[in-house]
Order: sequence, then C-alpha cells, then structure tokens
Amino acid sequence: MVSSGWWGRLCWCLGLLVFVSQPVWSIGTTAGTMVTNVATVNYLVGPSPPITATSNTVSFRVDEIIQPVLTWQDATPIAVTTPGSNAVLTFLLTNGGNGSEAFGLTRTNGPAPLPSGNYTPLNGSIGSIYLESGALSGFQGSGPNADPLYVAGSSDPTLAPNTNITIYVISNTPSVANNLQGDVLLGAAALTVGVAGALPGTALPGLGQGGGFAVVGSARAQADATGSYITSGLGLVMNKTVLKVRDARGTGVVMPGAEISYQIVATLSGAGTASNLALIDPLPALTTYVPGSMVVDGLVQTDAADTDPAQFIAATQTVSVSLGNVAAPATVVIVFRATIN
Amino acid sequence: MRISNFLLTTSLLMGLSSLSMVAQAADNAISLTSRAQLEVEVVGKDGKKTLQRTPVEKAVPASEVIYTTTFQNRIDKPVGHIVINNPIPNNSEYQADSAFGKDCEILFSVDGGKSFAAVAQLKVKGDDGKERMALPGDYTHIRWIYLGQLMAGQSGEVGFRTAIK
Repeated sequence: MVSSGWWGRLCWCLGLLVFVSQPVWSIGTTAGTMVTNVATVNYLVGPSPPITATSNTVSFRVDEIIQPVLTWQDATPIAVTTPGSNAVLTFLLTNGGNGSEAFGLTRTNGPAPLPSGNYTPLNGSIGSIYLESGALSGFQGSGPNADPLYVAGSSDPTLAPNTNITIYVISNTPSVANNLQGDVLLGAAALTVGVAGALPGTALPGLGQGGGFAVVGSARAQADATGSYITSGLGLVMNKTVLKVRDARGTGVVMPGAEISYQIVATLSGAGTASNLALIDPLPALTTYVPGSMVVDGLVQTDAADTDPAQFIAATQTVSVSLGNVAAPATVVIVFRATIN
Repeated sequence: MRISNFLLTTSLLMGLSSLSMVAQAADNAISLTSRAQLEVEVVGKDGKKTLQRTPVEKAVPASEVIYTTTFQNRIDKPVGHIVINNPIPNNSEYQADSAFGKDCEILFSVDGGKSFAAVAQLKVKGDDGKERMALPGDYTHIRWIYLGQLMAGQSGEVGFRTAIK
C-alpha cells in the first residue's frame, strides 16, 4: 500500500517510473479515516444556571472498498497488416476504490468463445504489456521517453484512489486474411490477498488500507476489457502539389524570393484505425519555411510543439503533423508556404 | 460564644455542602448516550427478511449510518429547556428527512452551528454566488428542542441518518 496522494501523482514501482494521472472522479472518503461524533445537551434544573453535558464519543473506521475499472480506449479496432508486428491497443485502468491498491495484469489472446471469422492475435515480439511512463503520452517502445515493460510480480501498478494508468497491449499479427477481427482481453486483479474473484461484499479483516476491512466491490475486485484489431489493407496516400507561386512581380515565375504554397492531401483508405498517424514532410532543398504558414484542414496552426497537431521542426527543416489515432477512411489536407532561397 | 460560633460555622458548612450537592445533582441530571449503527437485512428461518441494527463494524463510502442519542433524566425533579445539538459527523452527509425525535422541534444549521432554522428557511450561497435553498448535503448540525419538561426517570431518543461520503 502506498500513501494516498492526488494531483499529477508519480508512483515508483520497483525502479520503474509509472505515471498515474490526476483524479478522474470522486469516490469518497479515504479508507482508514476515522468518523467521530459527540452530541451535546443543554438544560435547566429549577433556578440553577444552564447546564451543558456531552455524550460519549462514537467513532468507527471507514474500510477499504476495492473496485478497479478497466476500459479500452481506442474508438475503433486498430488496423494491422498481416502478418505484422507490435500493434498497440490502449487501455485505462482506474482505481475506483477508496484505498491505494496494487493490480496484476493478464492478457488473453482471442478469448473464448472465438467468434467465427476472428483470428487470435499473438503477444508482441517487443513485449506483451507496457505501462505509460508519463514522459510522453502515447506508446513509446524505445528512446528517452520509453514506457516500461510490465512484468507481473515486479512492476504491478499501484494506484491511489481515483487515479488511473494507461496500459498498452502489444500484439503481433499472424498471417491471416484481410478484414478479420482479433481480440485481446486485458484483465486487472487487485493483489490484496484473497479479494480478487471473491463474492461482492466479502470483507477481509485487517487487509484494508489503514487497518480496517478490505471489502470486495461489485466487480469482485477485478476488471477486464476487450480491445480489437482488424487486419486491413489500410493504405495511406500522400499527394503533394504546388497550389500557387507568388513572386515580387506577381508573374508566378519560380525564382529566388518567390513564395510557394504547398498542399499535401493525405488519404487513408481501408478499414480500421491508423494508430499514432504522423505526416512528415521535409522542406525541399534551397527553400525556407514561412513562419506561421501551416494550415491543417482549414485551421491555422502554430509552429511550436504544442496543443495543435502541427509543428515545424527547425533542426530538421521538417513540417510535422501528428494526428493520433485516425479511423479510415479519412482525408487530411495540409497547406504551408516556403520561399525559394 | 464558642458554642454558637461552632453551630453557625457548622450550619454554614452544611448549607454550602447541600448547595454543592444540588449543583452536583443538577450537573448529572441528564445523561446523554450516543451510538452509531448500520441497518442490515437478515433472513429468518421462515425466509422472511427483516431489518436489524448492528454496531458499525464494516463501513465503506455510501454506507448509511444511523446515529441515535438517548437522553435520560437521572434525578428526582423535572428537567426543562432541553436542547440537544449534534454535528453531522466528518466525511458524512445527512440523509434527507431522516432526523427523528418524539416531542421535539428539529432545526438544522448550515453555518457550522452558529444559527439554526427549519428546513424551509435554510439558504446557502451556490457556486454562482446566488442564494439557493439548502440541500441535505449542506447541513452541518442538527438541533432538537425538547418540548416541555422531562420528568424524573423519563428518557427520550433523537437521531438521524447519514451516508459516508
């Protein structure tokens, strides 16, 4: 059990930095809190002055209810190539109880009964389950912001009440036909001894946070959610054209100093969702980017890496648009300007 | 002189002592005993379900707790102007219409016990800064005003229900 804390909580789990986000809702009184009550009475006896007396103190401890909630976060099945490797499903595990709790995670590929026409995904070749580190949102398999691999028994996430953690399930795809769905069931089970799977209302003395009962919640102190892949001929076509050329004389002639408006139309075809779709376009040689000229789907973008999807990376002279998960079919139009040196 | 002085001193002391005994008796005239209970459904041998009250042993957020305070006149004289105050316990929310007390006027406070009024008169400032009717969750204290005198040996009960936040 870790001590409770709330905002932007970072939780070290056996050397792995695991990110636990801000509270998601208010579950209530923290387990272990003492509730006390004393009543007071005032009265008169004959002509004597008013007299005050108090009752005995009534008190009890609030026990811990254990109630994880797990949800699959991708809106639609993630498109995968077949055969393919290391496609990412995203889940969110929330501690809906009122005490800190550690959870064990398990995955089941192609949970039974397997619907007709479904395929069974395989564990990812880089690992099976990862935990969001909090350094950079979205799955990072490597690099300075790499998310840690989940290892049962040694990096089980511990969540304070009302906090959550993003979990990535990584899968390889066997060689199967297109347009087939493959499911993975992710399960989370509270690790307090004896609670996972027990009947709702089961109370284990002394095992709750603060020394009270650990009480099994309505979902038997465990939670699961199914995420899906779809094998797909998902295709991305990027078509870059020059919209117009503007030079000082207004002749439209390409010459040093002339400003060129480029348009990139990215068309995503097929079925499913392209995860973490990023469109990157290095500037043509001998051109200079016109600051603040990026427009994505009609919306003006800033050049900085901030809340809008676009940025201009000066170090690599690259226009970059990170669109996250995009469900096919979809079209994205990017416009920017550059001057000829 | 000595004898009369002695008698005077003795009678004064006796007088003071009896006054002190009256005061002491008045101090303990009303005993106040509180308890917190849960209501659990029990299935009898005949399959019938009944509600039974038990001490609070297991309580989690949303559990409903019943607080009952018994007041008893422990002297041989009537006691009047009995007013019982009880704060809504910490981490708890008063449950609407749950306060009870026979022969009592029941008032509530929304300002930490500074002032009390009947439910219909209770108002608080909402998040928008405008005054609104107080909700049960706004109550901070309950007051029972016992109507009349509590005769020697008599007792009464007052109480309310809360949900643990």
